[in-house]
Amino acid sequence: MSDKTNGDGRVPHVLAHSPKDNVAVAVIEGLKAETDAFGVVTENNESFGIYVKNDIPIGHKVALTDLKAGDTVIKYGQDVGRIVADIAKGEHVHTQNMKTKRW
Amino acid sequence: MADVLPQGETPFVGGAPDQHFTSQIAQKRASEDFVNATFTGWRRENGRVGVRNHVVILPLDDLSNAACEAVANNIKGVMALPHAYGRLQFGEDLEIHFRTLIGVGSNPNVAAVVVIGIEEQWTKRVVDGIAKTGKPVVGFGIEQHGDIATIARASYVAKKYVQWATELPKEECPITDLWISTKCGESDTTTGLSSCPTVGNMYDKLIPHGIYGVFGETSEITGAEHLCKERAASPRSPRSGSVCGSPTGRRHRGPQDRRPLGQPADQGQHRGRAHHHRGEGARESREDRPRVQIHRRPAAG
Repeated sequence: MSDKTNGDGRVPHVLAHSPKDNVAVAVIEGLKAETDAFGVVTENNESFGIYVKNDIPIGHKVALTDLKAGDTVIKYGQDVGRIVADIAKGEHVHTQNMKTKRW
Repeated sequence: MADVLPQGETPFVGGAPDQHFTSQIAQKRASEDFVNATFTGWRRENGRVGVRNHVVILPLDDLSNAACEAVANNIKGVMALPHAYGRLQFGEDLEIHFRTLIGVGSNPNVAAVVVIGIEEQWTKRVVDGIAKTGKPVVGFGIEQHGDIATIARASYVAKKYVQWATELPKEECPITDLWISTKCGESDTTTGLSSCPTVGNMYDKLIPHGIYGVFGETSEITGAEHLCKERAASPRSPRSGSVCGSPTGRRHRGPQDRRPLGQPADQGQHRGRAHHHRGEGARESREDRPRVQIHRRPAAG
């Protein structure tokens, strides 16, 4: 497992790509609600903690800040869509509360 | 490819095109580690450099796959590239097929090519395209010789090519001679996290040093068009220095499977006889076509 850990020797639960991101991606199976998740920013290898409030399936997003309807979701340091329903920090971000801006 | 190249020109002929790079974003991300980087490769007749040294046995159509694989079985060290194309194709679709084959043979990773087709006339078209690079290339038509004689003739040449290619020396080349192409393999949960940023970082760091980046399957950049566009040398899918083409820049084309005017629906595709197997002249006028006794479907009704 050592190849999956950062300097702290801990396996990240979630990864963010850029320090600008307001969402992170679950990279483990079965990330359960009410978990103190450990996260790493891949761009600079900084770690962070996020209290996860919903079950987050692997590959899905979790909000790193409180987000209001109309806010922009930033992932990879890029605009990937807009919020259509308010999301609290630590909640699941998916098609129920986020939509692409393109069509 | 067709959009950015003049008609009739093959993609990889005549050495690397002039390289331009205009994006300030990537200039900022250029890595100093690669300023004087070199790699070893085989410099081909047209100046391009390959990092592989294949002798390719290239079928013109899927009917010739077996003969090509037989040659590869006879002569160790050659590579047959069987494919499913070359028949039942018309117009622009067929042109893309020929350009693709010529592009494969022209690739600098290929030292020499043996092309095998059913008809010599159509085989020659691909041979002539590859020959523009200056590399050794020869074509064989199976028609009027049969599979076994064709395999024997092609095997002699393939063996000669392998012996020649094996003795070609590698040389140290500047990184500006390097072309790196990427192709979407498969997407899953992890690709956006790991491989996509890695490939993007590679281009950002190396393109300012003069590598030539190309990729296929541009539909895979959906959602990142703006990122690729701001790294392109010109707004319209330029030939040089860019890592992407704008999908919106495509000139309108008709459907690729449109039949040529005056071509009856049941001819040219009948009984597995692709139109190009009947010779170029056969397409010009119906009267000129040789009368061939083949079973035809009864007329409708």
